[in-house]
Amino acid sequence: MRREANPSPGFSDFCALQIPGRLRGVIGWAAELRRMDISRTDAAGGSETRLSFHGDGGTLFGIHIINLLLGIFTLGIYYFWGKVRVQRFLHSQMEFNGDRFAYHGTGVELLLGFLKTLGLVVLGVIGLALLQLLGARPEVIAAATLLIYTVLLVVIPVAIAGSRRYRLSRASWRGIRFSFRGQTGAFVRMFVSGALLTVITLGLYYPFFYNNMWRFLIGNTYYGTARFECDGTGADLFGRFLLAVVLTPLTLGLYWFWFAAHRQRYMWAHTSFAAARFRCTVTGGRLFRLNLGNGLLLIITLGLALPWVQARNIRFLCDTLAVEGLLGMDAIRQEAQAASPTGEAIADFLGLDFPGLAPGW
Amino acid sequence: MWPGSYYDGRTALRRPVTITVMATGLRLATEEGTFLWWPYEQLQLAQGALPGEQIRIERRPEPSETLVVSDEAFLSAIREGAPEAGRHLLPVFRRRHWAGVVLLAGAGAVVAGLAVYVWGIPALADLAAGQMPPAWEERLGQAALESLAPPQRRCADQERDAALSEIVARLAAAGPRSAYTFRITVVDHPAVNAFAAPGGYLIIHLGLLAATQTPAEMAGVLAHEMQHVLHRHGTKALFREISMRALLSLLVGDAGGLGQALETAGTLGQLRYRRQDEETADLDGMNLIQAARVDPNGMVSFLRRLSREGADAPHGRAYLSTHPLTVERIKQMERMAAGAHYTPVPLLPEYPWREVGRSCVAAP
Ligand SMILES: [Zn+2]
Repeated sequence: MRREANPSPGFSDFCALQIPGRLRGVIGWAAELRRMDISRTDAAGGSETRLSFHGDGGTLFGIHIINLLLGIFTLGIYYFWGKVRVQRFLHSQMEFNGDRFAYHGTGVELLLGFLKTLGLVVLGVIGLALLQLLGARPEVIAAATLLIYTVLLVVIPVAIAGSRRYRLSRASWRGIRFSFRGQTGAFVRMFVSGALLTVITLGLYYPFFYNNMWRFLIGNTYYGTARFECDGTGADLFGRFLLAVVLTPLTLGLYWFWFAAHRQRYMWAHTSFAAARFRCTVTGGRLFRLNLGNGLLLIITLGLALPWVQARNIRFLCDTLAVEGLLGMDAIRQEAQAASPTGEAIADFLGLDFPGLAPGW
Repeated sequence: MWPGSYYDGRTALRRPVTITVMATGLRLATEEGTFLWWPYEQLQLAQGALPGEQIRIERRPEPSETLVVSDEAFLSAIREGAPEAGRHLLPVFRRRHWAGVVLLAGAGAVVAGLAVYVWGIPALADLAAGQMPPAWEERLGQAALESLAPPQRRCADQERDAALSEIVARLAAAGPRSAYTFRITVVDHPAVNAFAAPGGYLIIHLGLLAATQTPAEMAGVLAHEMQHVLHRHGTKALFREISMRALLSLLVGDAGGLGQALETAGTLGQLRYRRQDEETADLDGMNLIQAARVDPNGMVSFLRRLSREGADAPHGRAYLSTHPLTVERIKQMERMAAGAHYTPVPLLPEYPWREVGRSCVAAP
């Protein structure tokens, strides 16, 4: 049920969905940034190429229903296969330049990733239980609390990078796989220092942190042998961010939509792929209407409309993102990268993101 | 002859092909006039079962070659052209049956969900609770004790505690050997109420002590609560609760909810038992009373008085709310009491029972 508040399917909403209510601090938007999955592109020469989404909420709803039934019959184990089923559908309905995307994940590997994560969690719980044996002295409790937060602060970026590595490695277009090649260690350092700096500067570091995350997560993304490039700077975003800090409370949060739209337009404008540039045409008003509509849909249907909301989000993404002047597709070669599903499972465990899968109601 | 797109898995190029469905494989003709031969046993359907999905066939090994066909009738062509060799390329059900499949799945999910909820989970949870070591139950009980009987509200009247312990000791001695040590905590609360927490913790409100007129009546209440412990009703209820939530969170796809379900383990909720648990506790409680040769009419008279006056008395409702009494249950107890043929051995003849619920000496 808790999912209702978080209707955005990870697949879609890199351009959408920076809702003020979801300003849950560093962790919240770090997760959001991670969702900006669909940096998949390409085109054949010259002008503008767009994404399009052919799926409908009804079919997605049906997939969820079947997943639910099989989930009950298998005592929940089907969850992983259901997740794959949804991803496969969403990818297969997304078209770019005449070809659909494809998803290659399997339920078995997700299950194994989950079991690994479960093992880690059990180890953690045992560790905490052992700590309890030391007694409930204040210094023990303080040390344990510090330890938990430290571990979380490290685990979150590991999960973000791992999940992205996994998902991109399982996505393809025209038979060529995507990949994420950022070093997890480097990302952890960047994330931890960025999060701490954001806290220390009372949030002022946020635009820089955001830009760094974007550059890392998008800039280390490959399609076959071709890399996505980013050249944005946090300083460019800083002025707008200050304005947002002032105006967001004054407008009861509404201004954040306009800031988020600006940020998204800026980030995409400074992202390129094989000599092509991205153009994001999202506006605050459209972002606001999308989220308002989604919220109303979910409330009125008690969350049953989640699949339609997912479809809306993805369609919104396709409507607002274009690629300009892509050339040189002939030179791109297959260069698939191995990726463990464990990071994905940890992210799932932490509730960092939930694309489609199990019905959110 | 079907139009399709071929991807070689090495370059990002699309090649239009014309496909012919043969008995043992697919023949792909490129625009340059070359042919590719795809035997069925090397192929698998990667996608194409759902309405609106393109048919995507992959040919291993990695990086696999891919064939995409937009016309869904292509699958029918395989079904007819290669009924045996191409069978594994067909989805489980046909696309035009999709709506029916979803409808069936929906109905099945509701039925199966109810069945799991009503029978499956309770049975599994009871099984698991039965395996739990008593020492673990004691820890659960301690957690429950902390919330139901906060230390600052506990009474520490040594004489009364000794008297109550004597009743419990006599009952326990008459029952089967068990791994539980029964510990009574009296709480300074006016409600007529008593609880049994897992592991042998019995919690008695002062109001209940005041409402009993004889030690035999108190023995009836204690025997009932002791049976809750011996039958592990609290632990089982907790297991049911946790597994119910865990399952729900799994179905909803919210792995985080699992942690929340486990968190509730500490709080134990209200210690409210199911009706059938109450009946078991009544029945076996009465058996215990009789095995200990305590006057069985004590239990009956207490329940009868409670059902008669309880609903009106200001604090009487509490016990009834945690121990719903029905006319049949009292009748059943009366029958059992009447069936007992022994001379009761008096309980606590020396103890001034009239004063048992009068005061509370706060614990130091
Ligand atoms: Zn009871």
